[in-house]
Amino acid sequence: MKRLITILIIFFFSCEEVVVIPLPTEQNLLVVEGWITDEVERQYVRLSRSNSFSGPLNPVIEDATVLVQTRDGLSQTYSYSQDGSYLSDNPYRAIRGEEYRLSVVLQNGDLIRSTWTPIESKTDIVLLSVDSFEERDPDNPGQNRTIYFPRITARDSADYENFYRWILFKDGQQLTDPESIILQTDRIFDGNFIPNDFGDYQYDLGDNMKVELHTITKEAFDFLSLLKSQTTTLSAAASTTPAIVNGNISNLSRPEETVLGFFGTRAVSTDSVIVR
Amino acid sequence: MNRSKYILFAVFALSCLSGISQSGLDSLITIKNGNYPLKPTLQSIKNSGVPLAFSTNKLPDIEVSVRNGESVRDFLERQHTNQIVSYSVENSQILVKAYAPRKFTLNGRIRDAESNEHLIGANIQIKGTELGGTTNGYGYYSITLDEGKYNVIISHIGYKSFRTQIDLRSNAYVGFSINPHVVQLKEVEISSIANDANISSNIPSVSRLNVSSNSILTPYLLGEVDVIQNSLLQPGIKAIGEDAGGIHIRGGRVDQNLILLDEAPIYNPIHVGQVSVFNPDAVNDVKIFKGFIPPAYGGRASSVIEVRQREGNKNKKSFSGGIGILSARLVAEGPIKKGKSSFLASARQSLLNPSIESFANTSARRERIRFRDINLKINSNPNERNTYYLSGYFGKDRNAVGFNSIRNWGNTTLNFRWNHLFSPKLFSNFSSFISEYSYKVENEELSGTSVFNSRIVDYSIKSDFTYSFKPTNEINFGFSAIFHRLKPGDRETFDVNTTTSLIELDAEHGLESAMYLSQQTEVGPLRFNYGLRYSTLHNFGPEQVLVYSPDALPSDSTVVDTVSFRPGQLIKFYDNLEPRLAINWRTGPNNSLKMAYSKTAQYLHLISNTRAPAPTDIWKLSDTFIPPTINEQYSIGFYQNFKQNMWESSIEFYYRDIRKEISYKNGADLIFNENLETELLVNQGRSFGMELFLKKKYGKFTGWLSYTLSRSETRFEDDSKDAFIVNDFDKTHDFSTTWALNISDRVSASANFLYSTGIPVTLPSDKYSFENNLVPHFVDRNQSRLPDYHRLDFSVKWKAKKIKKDGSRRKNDDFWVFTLYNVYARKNVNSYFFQESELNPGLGEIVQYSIFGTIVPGITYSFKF
Repeated sequence: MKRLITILIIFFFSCEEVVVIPLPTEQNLLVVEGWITDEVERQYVRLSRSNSFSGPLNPVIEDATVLVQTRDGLSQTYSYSQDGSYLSDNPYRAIRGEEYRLSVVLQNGDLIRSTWTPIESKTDIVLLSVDSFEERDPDNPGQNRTIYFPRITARDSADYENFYRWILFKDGQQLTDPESIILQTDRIFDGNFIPNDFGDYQYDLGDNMKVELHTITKEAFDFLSLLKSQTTTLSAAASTTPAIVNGNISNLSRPEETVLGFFGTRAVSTDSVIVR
Repeated sequence: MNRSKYILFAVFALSCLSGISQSGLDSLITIKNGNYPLKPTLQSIKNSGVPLAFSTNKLPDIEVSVRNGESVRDFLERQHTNQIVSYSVENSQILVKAYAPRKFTLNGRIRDAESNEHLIGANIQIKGTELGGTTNGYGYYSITLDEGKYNVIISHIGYKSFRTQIDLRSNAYVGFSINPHVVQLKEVEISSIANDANISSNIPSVSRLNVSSNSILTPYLLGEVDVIQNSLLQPGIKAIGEDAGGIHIRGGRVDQNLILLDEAPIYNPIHVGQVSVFNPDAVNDVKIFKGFIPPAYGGRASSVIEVRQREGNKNKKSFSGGIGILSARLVAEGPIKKGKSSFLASARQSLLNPSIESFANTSARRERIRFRDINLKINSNPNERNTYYLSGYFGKDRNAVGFNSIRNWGNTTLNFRWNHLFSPKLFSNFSSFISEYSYKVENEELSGTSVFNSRIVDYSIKSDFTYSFKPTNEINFGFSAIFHRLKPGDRETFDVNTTTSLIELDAEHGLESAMYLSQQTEVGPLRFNYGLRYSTLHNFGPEQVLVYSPDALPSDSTVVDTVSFRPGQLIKFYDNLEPRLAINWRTGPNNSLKMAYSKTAQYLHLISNTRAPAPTDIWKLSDTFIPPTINEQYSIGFYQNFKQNMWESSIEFYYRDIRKEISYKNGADLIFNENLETELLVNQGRSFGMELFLKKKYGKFTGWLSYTLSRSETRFEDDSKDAFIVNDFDKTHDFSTTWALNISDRVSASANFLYSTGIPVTLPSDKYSFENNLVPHFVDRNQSRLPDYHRLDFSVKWKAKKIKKDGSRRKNDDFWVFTLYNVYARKNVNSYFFQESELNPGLGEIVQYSIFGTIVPGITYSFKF
C-alpha cells in the first residue's frame, strides 16, 4: 500500500501531512499478548492497556496474577519481569495433544481468560539458502549493488490445513520491512515443498540470516491476518475498512468489557546462515 | 458562410387500405353528373350491386356531387376529402360512416446532416399541438396522427431546429437530417417550441450527457474529457474520492449500476485512476436513469447508465484524435457504402508509462501503469426497414505498482444488433452479445511465481419491441436471457519445477432471464409510463454446494454435508416481479410534476472488502446462500422551465429501501475462498435525499448548478433493532456548478466548482501494542467525517484558425485545451492514515493524505481532418 501511495505522490502531486484531530474518548482496554512454544523455555505473557491514539506510550500492567492451565489440570505460574512482560517461573513447552488456557487476575479482581488452544505439529525447514540480485544503487547513481535474500524450502504435511507465520532476523534483529507479519497457508501446496523467495527482505554480505517458521492454529492465523490488515493497509480507497481486531480473550467478571490481544501457541522451526 | 441546407427526403408508403377486398370499390358509378342528396345516392349505388352498408340516421343530410363513370372508391374518397363521410371495408362490405379523420403513422429517423449519423433524443413536434415525440436509442421516431397538413419542427440540442410542412395522407416514412450549429457566438434564436423534453418526458430523474453535440463536457484532470467525471457534476451522482473507481447513484453501491455500452454490460467502467473506459471520441450519448428504471432494463438495483457509441460518418471519411498528458487517441470513420453503411474505429492508449518511468527510482523499476481501449462499430442500413450494427469494445489495463504483483484486467464486449420495422408502428430491436470481464494477477510473491485468473463471461440474447398506437400511446415489450459463467479463480504456476498445485475454484453458472411489458399513455394532463418486469435466476451445476447446520450461520465449523450437482442440474431458483410506474402531471405549459416507483432485483454482486472497488474484486451470483438484492425507490419531482426553455430547473426527492445487500465480515478472506458465504453478511440499506438542478441550455453562457442533500446508510440485518450506520460514500451536501463561456469564435472557457461534505471516516479511540506493532482500535464505524471537499477547475479551449492567410479554408480542424485542476491548490483530504510515528516509536500519528496537494495543469491537442 505504501508503495502505491509513493508512486501516486510522485505522479499525482499528492501530499501527506501529520495532523491533530479530535478523536473519540479513549477506552483504556486491557491488552494481552502471549505465546507458548514447543521449545522448553521461559514462556512470556505481556499485559498492557490501550490509551488514546494520540496519547503517550501505552501503560503496562505490573501487578496481575498470571497463570497458564492445561486441560489436565496442570498449571504454570508467571511472574512479572519488565515492560509489562511476565515470564513463566519454570521453563516448559507446549505439547501436542494438550490444550492450554491463560488466566489473569487483575488488581481489581477481574478474571481474564483466553479460550483453550492446542498446539500444531512442527513443520520443518528443509533448506535455507542465500540468493541475490543486482539493482541500481540509489546512493551511487550509475553503480549496481547486490542484494542478498533468503530462499527457504519447507515441507508441508498433507491432509489438513496448516497455517504458517515466518519471522526473519538480520543479525538478531527482526526484519519488519516491508511486512512485520508474514503469513502463509498451505492452500496452494498442500503436502508439498513450500518454496519461498523473500526477495523483499534485504541482507548484505556478512549478515547473520536467521529464519523462524511458526506453525500456528487457524485462530491465531485469523487474528494475525486481521491485525495485519488493520496496521498496514488502512484508510485509502483501496484499503480495508477499519475493524476491531477480535482475539480469544475475555473478561469473565465483566463480559461487556472488550479485552484485546491474543494468547496462542506456536511450533517453531529455526535455521540460520551467514551471508557469504 | 452559412451553407446549411436542409435535406428532406420522404418515401411515402403504400396506403394502409391495401390488401383488403377491393372488388366493390372498383365498381363504376353510372349516375348522371350532378348534385344529389347523399343518402339516396348511396342507396342507388347499393342497389346497383355494390356491397355498401350505412346507417341513414348517422349520415348528414347533404348534397354531394356525382360524376358518371367514377369508381366507388374515387367517389367515397372525394367525400372523405370534403369531410362528409368516411369509409372502410370489412368482410367484403363497404361501411360508410359519418366523417372521422383517419389516422396515419409518421415514422423515420432523424440524422446529422453532415455525418448522416442518427441522433438520439432528437425531438419531433407538431406545431400548434402538444403532440410530438423523441427519437429512441437508434434515432428512430414514430408518431400517429390524424390525416391532414402539419407544421413539423425537428429540434435537438446543438442543432438548428428545422421546420417543414407535411401533408399526411397515408403512413409515411420520413427521414429528417438537421445541421449542427456552426456559429455559437450570438444568442441562438430560440424557437417557440424549444426542447422541453425535461418537463414533457414521462421518465423522471434522467441525467443526460450528449457527447457528440455541443453540450458542455468540461475537461477534467490533465485536460482529459471524461464521461464518468462529467456525470459526477450531476445531482445524485457521487464518487467516494479522487482515487476511487466507481460511482454511487442515489446512495447505491458501485455494483448496483447497470452500465451498458451499446447494450452490453461493462463490469468495470474504470481504468487506472478515475479515467472511464468510455473513449469520449467514440461515444454519442450517455443517459443515466437514477430514479425510474424503465421496465426494459433490469439486473441491477440502483441505476442504469446507458452509453451508446457513435455510428461513424456515413458521408465521408474522417480522422480525429488527440494527445494529452494522460493518453493519446485516434478515431477513423467513414462510409462503407455511402449513405448506407459506415464504420467507426477508435483506439486510445495511456501515456502514463513514460511519465512514471522518468520519476521512478530503482525500487520502482517494475512499476508500470497503462491502459488501452479499442472501439469498433460497423452499421449498415440497407433499407428503411432494417439496420444492422456490429460493435465491439476491447479494453486492457495493467498496473504493476506496489503489491509485488502485476495486475491485468479488461472488459471485452462484442455485440450484434438488428433494428427491424415490422410496420410503421412496430419497431423492434434484436441483439445478442458476449461480454467478458477478466483479470489476471501475476504474482511474484513469497510462495513462488504464479498467475491468478478470474473471469466473468455473459452470453446474451435480447429483443425489444415498441408498438405506437398514437403519439401518446405506445407499448413496449420484450425478453432477455443472459447466461453468466463465472470463474472466480484459478491459480497456476509459471515455474515447472515448483511444487505448488493448480487450484481451481468451482465455476458458477446462472441463467438470468426477464420479460417485460410496459405502456406509455396519456390521460388528460397525466402521462403514464408503467409496466411490469418479471425476472428470474436459475443457478445450476456443476457445482459442489456445502450444507451448513440449520441453526448456525455458515462458517467452516458448521458444515454438515456436501451436495454435488450435475452439469445443468438446478441448484437454486429465484424470481421477482418488478413493477415500475412513472406519472408525469403536466401542471402547466412550462412545468410538470413527476412521481415514480421502481422495484428492481439484482442477482449479481460485487464482493469487495475495500472502501472503493478494486479491479480484482470478485463478482458472485446469487446462490443457495446469497439472496438477490431487492431495491424499491420512490421519487417525486417538480420541473419548471423558464424563458422559453432556455432555463431548466428541477427539485426532486427520493427514498430508497434496499433489502439483502451483500456485505462481508470484518477481516473477511475473500480471495480464493471456496466458501465465500462463510465470510458474507446480508444487510439492509436505505437512502434518501433531495436534488436541485438549474441549467441554462442556450446562449453565450451555458452551464448548470446542482445540489444534493442526501443520506445513505446501512445496518447489518433486515428489520433489526440496530441503528443504521452511514455508508462510506455518504456525502450530506454535494454541490457542483459548471459554466462555459464562448469568448470569441475561436476561444471558449469553462469552470467547475465543487463542494461536498467530507466522507465518513472511522477514527481510532485508542492505540495498543501487539508484538511491537502499533494497532489502532476503532469503536464506532463512520462516526466522524473528513474535512469538507472543495475545488475549482478552469479550462480554455483555443481553436486554430479555420481560414489560411491566403483566404482558403484549412482542411484540418484542430484545437488546444488548457486546464487547471484544483486552481487554488486546496489540500483536499482523501484519507487519514493511523500509523506509528517514525520519530517516536510507540506513539501514534495521524497523517492526512491528499491526492492533489497542488494545482495541476494540463494540456491536450485535438484534431479532425
